[in-house]
Amino acid sequence: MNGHGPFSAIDVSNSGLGYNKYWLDTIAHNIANINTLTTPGQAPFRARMVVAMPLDTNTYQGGGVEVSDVLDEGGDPAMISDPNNPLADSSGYVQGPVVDLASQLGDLVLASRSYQANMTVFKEARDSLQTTTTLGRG
Amino acid sequence: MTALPPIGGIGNIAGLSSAAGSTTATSPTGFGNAVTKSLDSIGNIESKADSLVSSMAAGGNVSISDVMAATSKANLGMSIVNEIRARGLEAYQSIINVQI
Repeated sequence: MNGHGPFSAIDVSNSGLGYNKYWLDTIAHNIANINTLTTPGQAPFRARMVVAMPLDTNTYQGGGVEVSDVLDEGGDPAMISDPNNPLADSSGYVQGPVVDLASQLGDLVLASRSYQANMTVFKEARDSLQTTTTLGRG
Repeated sequence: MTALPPIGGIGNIAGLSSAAGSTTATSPTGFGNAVTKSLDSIGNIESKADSLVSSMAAGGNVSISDVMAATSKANLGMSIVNEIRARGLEAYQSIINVQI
């Protein structure tokens, strides 16, 4: 990571774009599995949560962000009575996924807005540098 | 009458060579040399952008933002070198047009 170079603002906002894209991908995965059922006793599908970590904190201005970990959401899965389901156990129950659709959609708005914010920084950095190259004219 | 000293070369442009990962900054002997060195550095940045673009076009697992960052850097670097070339040429032109 080039923290001091002439294009460091582009690198930093690019790391933000990368992180938020990762987050969007994870939300897509969680929502895609909103109907993933399992047999009780097996591991249920658990929503994945992305953990952010600042990059290159040794320099004053920092170096952006990266994904440090992806965690599984905790909590107990819902037990759904569905005796005809081939996944059902002997008492006729299947296990729902541990995903809260409402919170995933809330995260989706946040991730999408963060991505846009980083794009704004990227464009601003690029335009400012481009304008700086014209300072020698005249 | 004393002879005019030749126009000194512009030293290595801060950041340009380090951005490309090459630190082969020996003292340039002239303006053309400096511009050539800068163009070489830009060539490195551009070839990085180029390989990203071609792997993206080939369906590789490349982030779009990485491609855009690389192409933006190449574009900016080219602008900087081009501006410096233009300033050098301007200086040359103003000297060549001196009335004797």
